[in-house]
Amino acid sequence: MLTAWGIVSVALVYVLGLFAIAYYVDRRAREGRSLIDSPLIYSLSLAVYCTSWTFYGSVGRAVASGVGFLPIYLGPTLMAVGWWWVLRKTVRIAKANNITSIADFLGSRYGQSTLLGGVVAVITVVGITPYIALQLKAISQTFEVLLQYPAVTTRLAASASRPFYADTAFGAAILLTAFGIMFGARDLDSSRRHEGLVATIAFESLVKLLAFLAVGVFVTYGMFGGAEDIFGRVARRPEYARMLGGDPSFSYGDWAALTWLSMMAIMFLPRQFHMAVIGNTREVHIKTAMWMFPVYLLLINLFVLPIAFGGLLTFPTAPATTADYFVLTLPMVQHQQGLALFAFIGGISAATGMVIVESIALSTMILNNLVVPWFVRRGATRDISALLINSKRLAIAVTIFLGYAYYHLIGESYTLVNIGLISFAAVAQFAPAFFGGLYWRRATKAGALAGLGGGFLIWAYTLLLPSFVRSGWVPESLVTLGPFGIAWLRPEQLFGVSGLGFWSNTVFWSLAFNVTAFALVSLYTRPSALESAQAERFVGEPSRPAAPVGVHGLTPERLEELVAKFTGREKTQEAFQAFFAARRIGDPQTMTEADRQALLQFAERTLSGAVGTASAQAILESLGQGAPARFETIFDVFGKVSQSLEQSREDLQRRVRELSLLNEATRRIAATLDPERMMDGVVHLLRQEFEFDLLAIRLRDEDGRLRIKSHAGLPPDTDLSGGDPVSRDTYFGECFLDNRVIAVEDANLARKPLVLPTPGAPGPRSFVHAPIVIEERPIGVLSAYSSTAHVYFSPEFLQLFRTLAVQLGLGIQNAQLYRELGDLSRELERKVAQRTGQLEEANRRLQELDRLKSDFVSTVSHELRTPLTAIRSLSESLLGGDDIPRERQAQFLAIITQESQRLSRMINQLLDLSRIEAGKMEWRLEGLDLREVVAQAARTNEALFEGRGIALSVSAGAVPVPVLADRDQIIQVLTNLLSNAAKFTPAGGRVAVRTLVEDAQATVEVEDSGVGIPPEQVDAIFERFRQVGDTLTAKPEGAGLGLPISREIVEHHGGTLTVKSRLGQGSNFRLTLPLASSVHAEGVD
Amino acid sequence: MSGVGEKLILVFVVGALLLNFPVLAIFNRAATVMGVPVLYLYLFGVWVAGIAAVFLLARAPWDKET
Repeated sequence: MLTAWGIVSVALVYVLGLFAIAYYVDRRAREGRSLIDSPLIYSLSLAVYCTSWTFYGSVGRAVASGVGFLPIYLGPTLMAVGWWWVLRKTVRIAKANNITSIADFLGSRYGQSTLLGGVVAVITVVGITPYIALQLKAISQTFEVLLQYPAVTTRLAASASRPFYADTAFGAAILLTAFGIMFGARDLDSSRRHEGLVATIAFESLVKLLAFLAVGVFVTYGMFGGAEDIFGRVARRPEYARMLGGDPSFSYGDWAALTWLSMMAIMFLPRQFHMAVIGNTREVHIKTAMWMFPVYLLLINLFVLPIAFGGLLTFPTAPATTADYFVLTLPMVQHQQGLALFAFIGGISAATGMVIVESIALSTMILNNLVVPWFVRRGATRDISALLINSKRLAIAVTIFLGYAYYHLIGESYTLVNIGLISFAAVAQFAPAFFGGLYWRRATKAGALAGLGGGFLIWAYTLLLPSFVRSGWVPESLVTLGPFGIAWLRPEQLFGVSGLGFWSNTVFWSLAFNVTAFALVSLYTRPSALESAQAERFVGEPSRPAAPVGVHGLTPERLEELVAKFTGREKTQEAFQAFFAARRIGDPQTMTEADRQALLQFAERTLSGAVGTASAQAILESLGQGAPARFETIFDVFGKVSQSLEQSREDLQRRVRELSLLNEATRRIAATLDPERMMDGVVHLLRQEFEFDLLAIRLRDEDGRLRIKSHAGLPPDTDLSGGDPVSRDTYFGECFLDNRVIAVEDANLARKPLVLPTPGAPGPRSFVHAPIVIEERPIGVLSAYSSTAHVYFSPEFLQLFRTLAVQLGLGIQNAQLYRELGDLSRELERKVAQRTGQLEEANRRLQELDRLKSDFVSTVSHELRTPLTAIRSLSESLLGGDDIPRERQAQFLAIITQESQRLSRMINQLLDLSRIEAGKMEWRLEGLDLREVVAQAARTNEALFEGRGIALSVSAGAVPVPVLADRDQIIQVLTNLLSNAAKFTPAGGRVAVRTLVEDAQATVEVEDSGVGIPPEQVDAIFERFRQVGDTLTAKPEGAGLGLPISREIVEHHGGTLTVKSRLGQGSNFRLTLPLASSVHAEGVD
Repeated sequence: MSGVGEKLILVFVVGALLLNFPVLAIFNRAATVMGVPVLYLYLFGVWVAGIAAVFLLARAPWDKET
């Protein structure tokens, strides 16, 4: 299994598998379904940090110095805590500026300087070369180690001495170059993420972690009895015990230096910058990566110490350099071929991932910061896009083979960790310029150059030079005695200081020189206008893109031609056409100024993606005939905001102006509770303040249409009654429906018809709508139109405009509430008055009723007492005197009987009345012929009339008059009417009773020729105890209850009892009852 | 400002203090707890605690301003 061909084929199959993953992910990305947009993938792609140096070298360093390997991972963990601030800001800036690399970032920050970008690129290439060499060394040597199976070597063959075609490192370099070109240099746009690459790296990170954990678990629990067992055994060997802690030679200085170096490395190593900044799909992934990436580091380091000690215990005599390969040799010595191969693949993953990303990042830098500026300076006269992409491919090959050369030079003399740290120290030189650039406006290009230069020289002198010494290139005396024998210039004890450790020597002196030079030079140089502008964009919030370079008389064709020179004709044509389509520009000749601006920005962006920001700037400048100038024709409603030193002051003034405007608007809104005056105040203020041509407020009416309620700028006689329906066909309708601000900067590009109240007026060229809302519910739209100039609505203005609309909504709501409150209180007052009237009426009636009741009681008592008095006096006379003659006695008794009857009748009537009123009367309804009932009543009372000499005539029709009634009650009513008639009709008079059907009612009329009733008392006779006028007899016969009871009875039957009377001529009582349809049917005759 | 950014700076500062001289020297001694050297336990413990702190803090939403 572990033969040369076996190992090579497994490795090749693995690499082909990586190609397949990359190919698949890239295809998915082209279809728009990104697979890498996940915080997990992002965190795993950051783990490209863990190279073969981690995979093999950590164990080697642990053997040399115990926990000394840990700062390399603790540093990034600490740095990750700061990503909340630093990385997020960097990603924002990079995205806003199409940054392609760390060199591009620094160059762009310091005035889009090609010089600084170039310096950074050179430093990086020189600094990273040892690191790439390290990976090649790891691949090559692990292959050699594996090849010797079943022997486990403790002495490595010098592979570099073989001819190059038999050298595994050479083969690996070729393969990696191919891989890098395939994924990193298919096209020029390097600001775009290469999704396939990211996915591959994430996958490799997973493989190397699993491989290392597998070996770790095997060694710890397979070969030994757990971590305690290993540590216990080591502790028993005095020569190793110091590694467990308390080592007197432990250098805290080196510890801190390594922590610092690794903190910087995680930010500035080209591959880290590439993955963390360029490869970032979403800012929010950083949040997850802040802990997930350190978790990865922790896991991959968990078994470093057990493996290191396991190796020491297994190979007690091995030389220190072979400790690097314990991960491989421990499984081998246990004859675990599969595990050894897995570990090898893990190592391959670690190494290839690093080399590929690093070479791509470096080649981008070389291209954008060294090659393109050279072309630009020479003046690009023909299409150089093919040349550029090939340069990039060449650059990938060059960086990898530089590493190969370095490996041959000094590869054998250093352990893996030390080689890697040389690179760390190189990129750490970027720290002052980078952090200064992010947070210090005053930092200048000259300062950055001075700092970088100073730091880099110290680095080269104290780290790179000694590495050459060790390889025998440079005489050793330089290190031991110093150059020309000057002892205080010895690289590793600079200035004669020997207390610093090997690493802290470099870190301290390079950092000291770097920071001091950077700060000092920055403070004593003046930044150019461009530098200041860029400083503002990097230090401030990177939101607004810079105005593009002004190029006068530049036609779209020339621009396209220019861009094509760098990015290729077909791609450029495609991109430009897509741009025109997106902006809906049919004919590029008739573009508006806004479009021209956008096109320039687009061209600059496209160029930036291909050749870096500084070069893109230079290329566009090379086109302008005159001196390069930044221009600003965009009309900002707040006045021209220049992108120069004045910006912060201008910003401040603008804020003040905004605030005072808001203040004034709020004052006007608060000043009145009349909505019309309020709205007029605001629109006039806005028109006056911003010089808009028309301000309008539309509110939605009850009929659902939006009508202009207030405006500034329309003719006063404009008819505004029409209104517009709320729909998405208009911009203000959309604004209303979506509850969002809509700004159209160029009405020529509008997609919807513009609805204006005055069709004849010149159309607007720019306009903006903001919804007027009450509690998040739109009630109208505030609009501003400009028909004289194109307006660039800055985000600040839109914010202000929206705020004004919200304020207006609040004001209108207040006015509405106030008006509603007024209405409500008036309504309330009306209701209170009405209710008070009702109560007064009720009270009056209650008092009347109370009076009536008192009257009733006194009348009843009076009425009852009259007969009682008579009875009593007569009875007393009868008792008292025997001398009363007999006939007189009989007379008395007759009166007593008569009065008693009257008394009991009255009481019966009272009882009847109360029964009827209480609803307790028992009614026996039956079908009757009213004629017959009337006849019966007349017969009964005949005697009464005869006695008084009154003529009674009873008449009725021939047909029956059917009613449904209680016979006794009706007879009582009739008797009552008849006796009344008799009572009030003088002798010789007549009484006529007629039964008839009238108006579909059964009717009985009792007409007398009596005294009649005074008109004002007609109603009163139906009231209780009202005895109208004097009766003809000496005293009233009843209690005055007859008519009220009669009326109650009749009304109970659904009929009426009324009277017509003329004084002195008699009365006509009229009784009606509803006709019953079926008197016969009920068998009543 | 939710203060998350400031709290993270504190985590950073405390982490940097705990992982360097002189605090580190307290634990850099030849002693073991349950068979594992104190130094290793300490370093990995601080590491885990730091990650846990970041995990808890980083759940807060991004602030608008940096």
